[in-house]
Amino acid sequence: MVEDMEKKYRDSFNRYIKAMKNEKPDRVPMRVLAAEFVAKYSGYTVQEVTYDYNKAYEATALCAKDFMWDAANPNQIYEWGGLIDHFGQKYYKLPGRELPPNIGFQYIEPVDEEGAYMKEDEYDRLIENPTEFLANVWIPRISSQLTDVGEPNTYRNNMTWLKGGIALMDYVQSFRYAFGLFKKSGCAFALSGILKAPFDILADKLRGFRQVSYDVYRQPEKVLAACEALTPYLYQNAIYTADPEGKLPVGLWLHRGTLFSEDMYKKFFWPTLKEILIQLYKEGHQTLWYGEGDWQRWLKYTAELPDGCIIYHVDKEDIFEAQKALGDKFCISGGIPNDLLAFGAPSEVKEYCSKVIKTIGKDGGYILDASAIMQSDARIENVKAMTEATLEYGVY
Amino acid sequence: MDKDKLNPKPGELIPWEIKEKEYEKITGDKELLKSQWEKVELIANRFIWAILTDF
Repeated sequence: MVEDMEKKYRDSFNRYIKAMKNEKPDRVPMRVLAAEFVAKYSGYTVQEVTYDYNKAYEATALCAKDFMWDAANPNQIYEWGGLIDHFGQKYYKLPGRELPPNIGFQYIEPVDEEGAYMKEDEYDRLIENPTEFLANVWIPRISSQLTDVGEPNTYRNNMTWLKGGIALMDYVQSFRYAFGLFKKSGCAFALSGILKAPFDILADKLRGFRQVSYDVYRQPEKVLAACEALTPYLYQNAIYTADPEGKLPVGLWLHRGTLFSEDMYKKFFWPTLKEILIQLYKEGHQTLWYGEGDWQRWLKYTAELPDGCIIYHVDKEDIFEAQKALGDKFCISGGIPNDLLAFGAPSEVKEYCSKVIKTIGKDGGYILDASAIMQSDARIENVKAMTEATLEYGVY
Repeated sequence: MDKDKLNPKPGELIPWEIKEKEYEKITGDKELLKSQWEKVELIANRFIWAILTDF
């Protein structure tokens, strides 16, 4: 059995890599990004997998083995409660704390200028040096346990900085255990590295969506300059965390680009993101373009990227239109709707998967996955149907 | 220039150029000192940016 799983691991890894290059492997790979679903399947609470990363790894590895996934993220929930409790981020509500034990974590968006973690008159400071701004202004502001620079120092402040760093090191070192579990489950890691678009950083974590929506009108030059200032730092963060062998893609999690007009997208969102993606590809790293929502309006811009630069993941857009626009250039992944997995019958799931596999995946370059990260609403029998469809219709 | 502003580049927190000036003298292998300084800089820098991009 161990030998079988080692072969399964090698086959899965090679199948996954080949598909990402937009080639035709032996069958359609399944690369499933599953978060709270793995807790439901394994009998853990969401609190357990949020706070105990080993349980998250074990739950995901069990799913990977039972559903024969070819690749997955070992902990798609990712926001480890241990680090958050020690470092004190104000913007999270976690299961077992503010939330009931089986509800996934929540990110609390700033709703006004008073709540914004970067103030409207702080653009110059961010632009002057992003790292210093984060360390001296933003991080102390987002933590309930740190003191502001210039205020009297405290024991708690010193210990919070220390423990935050130690917690991250502990978490990163735990990936070794996850890798061993995954190998025994015959499943490859899906990704290595993290990237966010510079504009998403402003809209998600620094100013908040509502405030940046004002900023693009009130101080557009500063918004642009901030995106440009962030670019080399976000690139460096991505390349530092990327697969040194260049086989697994960097994960790019896209959020706000769908919420603006085309003029805004062209001016603020796209240029710096495009620059980073192209540079990563020049250095030998593909990126998983994981656009949450409907990115169909921007397909023509995404098509400007070099062939093979990204793996294009489909959420709410029409996967058949995405294939037409981008299929010759990039591997396509996803497009199996989460509401189908939650409310459909297994026969409906199987039918839809077979349709996608036979059209999008006809010539290779397709990876099966749900449209969005799989949470507790996905029915187990429907996730099983995804696998059955792949094994029945996805063999080349 | 504000002496508290260190202006770290991507991957840095305290630039090597600042640290180098703090040694009274360097009697041995300067590149060895630099490489070990920069190794930890990268790891620690990752923490600062991980709070923004990951957590």
